[in-house]
Amino acid sequence: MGHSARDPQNAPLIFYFGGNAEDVSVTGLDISDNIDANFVLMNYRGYGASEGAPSESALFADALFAYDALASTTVHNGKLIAFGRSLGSGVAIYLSAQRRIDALVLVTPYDSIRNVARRRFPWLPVSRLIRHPFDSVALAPSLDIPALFLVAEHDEVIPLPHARKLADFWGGSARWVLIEGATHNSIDVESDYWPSIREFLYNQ
Amino acid sequence: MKAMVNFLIIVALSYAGICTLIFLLQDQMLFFPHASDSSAVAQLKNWQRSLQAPDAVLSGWVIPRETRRTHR
Repeated sequence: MGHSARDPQNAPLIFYFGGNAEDVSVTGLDISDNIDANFVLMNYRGYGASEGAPSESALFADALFAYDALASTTVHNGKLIAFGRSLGSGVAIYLSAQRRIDALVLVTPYDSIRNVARRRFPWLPVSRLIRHPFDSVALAPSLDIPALFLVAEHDEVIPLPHARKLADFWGGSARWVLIEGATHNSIDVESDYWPSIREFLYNQ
Repeated sequence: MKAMVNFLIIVALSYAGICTLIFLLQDQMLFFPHASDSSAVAQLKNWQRSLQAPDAVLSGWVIPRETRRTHR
């Protein structure tokens, strides 16, 4: 799904990857309300009208496909941004490790799904069970790209230490913005959410 | 002694069962596929059309924020 800025030639191209139950067609409306940029939004396999079944490898492959199909063929100002929320932060980070990305916006990100699962199920052999590790922290040190870490004070899904670990291992500049009083799912309705993203993007 | 052995066997089988269940159901625990909000898709299409028309009113399609919330 594509979305054009009012002045596409003078706006960045942003690849958006949503959370695990996010309808990006709804997100597209939020984004167009709040950021004047060119956007590529993609429902993961099995989501919306997309066919197939989601998996780590499928999400990664589709992100690369979208980038390769659109980064050089659409109108934008030359700046390429990856924007990932929650589950999508792992996809955005993977894309940044594989292709040229100028900056990253990471909303409620994690170090790895494996580590989040370990915290939730400490009595299980998570490393042996998990098929979709989304190991973002393994890629983080090699990414010399500015990143915005937008995190919720009361994140009940991805506890803050997981985002903090990712930021600590980040290879480029990491801007850490804690939204006070926010939870994992309410962060985007807090008053500081979009201004923080706009400020970061406009300074790139 | 036999009761203790039986108890340990039950615990081990239960643990193995939970591990198997989580291994098999992890896709459902991690991904929540759903249908698109058709009204949102229509709104986005309208937005795209409005951009291609020079005289279009760009803000005419905005819908109330409360109706757009979705669980992430």
